Amino acid sequence: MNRLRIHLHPGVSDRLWSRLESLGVAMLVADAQGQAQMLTGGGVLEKLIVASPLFQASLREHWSTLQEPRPQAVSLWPGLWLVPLPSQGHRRLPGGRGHQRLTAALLLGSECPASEQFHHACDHAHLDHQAVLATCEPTMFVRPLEAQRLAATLAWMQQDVVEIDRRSGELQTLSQQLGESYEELSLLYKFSACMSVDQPPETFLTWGCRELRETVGLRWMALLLIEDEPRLNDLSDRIFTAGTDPCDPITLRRLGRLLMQRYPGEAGVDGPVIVDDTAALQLPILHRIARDLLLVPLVRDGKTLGLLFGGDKLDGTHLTSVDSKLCHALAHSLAMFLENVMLYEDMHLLSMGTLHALTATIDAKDPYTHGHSERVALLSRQLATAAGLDEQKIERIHLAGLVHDIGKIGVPEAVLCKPGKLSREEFELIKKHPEIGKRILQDIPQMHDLIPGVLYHHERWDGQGYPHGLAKKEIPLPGRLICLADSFDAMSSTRTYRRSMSHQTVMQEIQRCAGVQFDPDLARFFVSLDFTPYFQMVERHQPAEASA
Amino acid sequence: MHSPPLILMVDDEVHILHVLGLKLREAGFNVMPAENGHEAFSLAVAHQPDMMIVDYQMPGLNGLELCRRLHAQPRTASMPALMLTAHASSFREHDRDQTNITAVLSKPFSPREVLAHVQQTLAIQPEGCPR
Repeated sequence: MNRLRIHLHPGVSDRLWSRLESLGVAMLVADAQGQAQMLTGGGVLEKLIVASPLFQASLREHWSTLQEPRPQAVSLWPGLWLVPLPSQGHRRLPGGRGHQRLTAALLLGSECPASEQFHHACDHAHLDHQAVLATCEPTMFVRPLEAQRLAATLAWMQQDVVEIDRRSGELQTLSQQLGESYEELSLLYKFSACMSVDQPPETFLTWGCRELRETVGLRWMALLLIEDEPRLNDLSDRIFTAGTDPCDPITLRRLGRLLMQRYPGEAGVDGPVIVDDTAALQLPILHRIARDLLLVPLVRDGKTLGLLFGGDKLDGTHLTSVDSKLCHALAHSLAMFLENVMLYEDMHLLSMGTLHALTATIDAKDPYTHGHSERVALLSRQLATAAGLDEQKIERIHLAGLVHDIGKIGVPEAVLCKPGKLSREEFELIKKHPEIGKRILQDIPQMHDLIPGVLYHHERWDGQGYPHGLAKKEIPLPGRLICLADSFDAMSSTRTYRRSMSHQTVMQEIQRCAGVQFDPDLARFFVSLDFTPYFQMVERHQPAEASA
Repeated sequence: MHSPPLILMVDDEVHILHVLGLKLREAGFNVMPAENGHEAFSLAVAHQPDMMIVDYQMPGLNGLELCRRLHAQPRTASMPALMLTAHASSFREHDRDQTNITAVLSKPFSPREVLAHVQQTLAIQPEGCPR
């Protein structure tokens, strides 16, 4: 930020003025008519001289010499010199000669009191010449050579002081800018650090809004996300606020939508916009909640994802380009974050879609098992929840349930769909499906954690299962869970080899096999599950089954 | 009238002294810069500042060692220190033992946060704290 230095004394820095004052040098500020506007550091003699018409005439006469950039002692009359103190950078004050002013040091020599002009000054003031001189100390006079030396010294001092002022001003400006860059850098650093943390997007967006408001120093800040973006999931149309709430959330959201229609919408800008006076936007709510408004659209690949808007600097100043630059950089990060959220959702939908397609393929091979995978997934999820697993594990168990029979794709259809009892060889073929499932999934790194559920869902608590004959807790938990869900659905559905059993019979069977085929603890959880969602799902699968 | 609190800043990166100096002066603090640990030690003992902002990584006497030495000096034992570090990971919690380090901020720091921390630290200083 550039600060214009306001000087108390035109053209001369405060630093030089105070130095000369402490040296006892008389200093004068005069206009082009020769009228003194200020005189400091002088005694009776100087006051008399400056007030005299002869001095004023003489000053007008020497005006152009006194304006020369190189300072020198200009002799106005015998024993009277003016040393002009050139303005910084020798800039003229605006307004032409009429508004020009001169700042100069006033030096007196020993010839001055005896001069005709000084007599004239005393007469003009109606003072006795001798009486005036009696008040003066002889040491205050300078010799002609000293006057020139003093002029040169003053010139150097002036140059030095100008240079010091310029450099300290520059240093201050640089430090200010560097400080602002530090704020920016620190915030960007925090943003990128937080983005990598595995946390709900809401947390990041709320945090980002708050940090940005604090760094820019705004009274309030809001982030509104676009409506009707399915990939944003439940973030769509959400509003996040920080600071003092400017108005109720409904009004703020309505205002945000109106602003979003204009920016970038109609205005066609994708960068930040500073509105100095919100009255000009003619949005009735707006001027009540902010005088200054900062608008930053969140744009990614030409698509608007949201709008960041906030109002009024806490220190009462106007918003600057520094503020908008910072918000722009952060809006970029936020937009990137939202894009990641959408890409993640895309990926999730794609992988789920693929999984469902795969399992539907298996189920389609055998009309009797239609919807079996979905139902096993549902029951596995319910059982995992009842067993107290964390949300992430429950999600993975659900997926493992969905793909548990994927290996059946490698079992001949004639065997899978054979009505009646299977031969020993045929049963050996069926028993291969968990291993085949494992081989299919092991080529997909993102699904490695599903393998235990798939590979071990035919193991038994008593160690009589397949493929490895593991017993009790040797069987990984997902395997034990899916085993229960799978057996329940198998018993409850009509299969090629038998009719379905009643729910009551199935439950009795589960209890009977607890501690034999099933994990007894899990079996206890299982029999107390709410089966309403399961039967609703069976209903949904019915028509397709009938038509198949 | 009380004179404004005096803050000693130590960093071998001079631009940081300028940036923080400006921020703290604008907020009404007196600021005393030092470009290395030894200079800071002498200044601290001689002037007994109200607080110190110190860089962790400095050639010669590093920030942590400076804090330990000042904590061992009766005249500066209770002076709080704010540590700035580019390597938050290399600074361990038990490094604060035998020092009066009240907080650690990692670079790139926000001057606004440094100021907020200084204001907070000095606001909770007990009355009659040695100057």
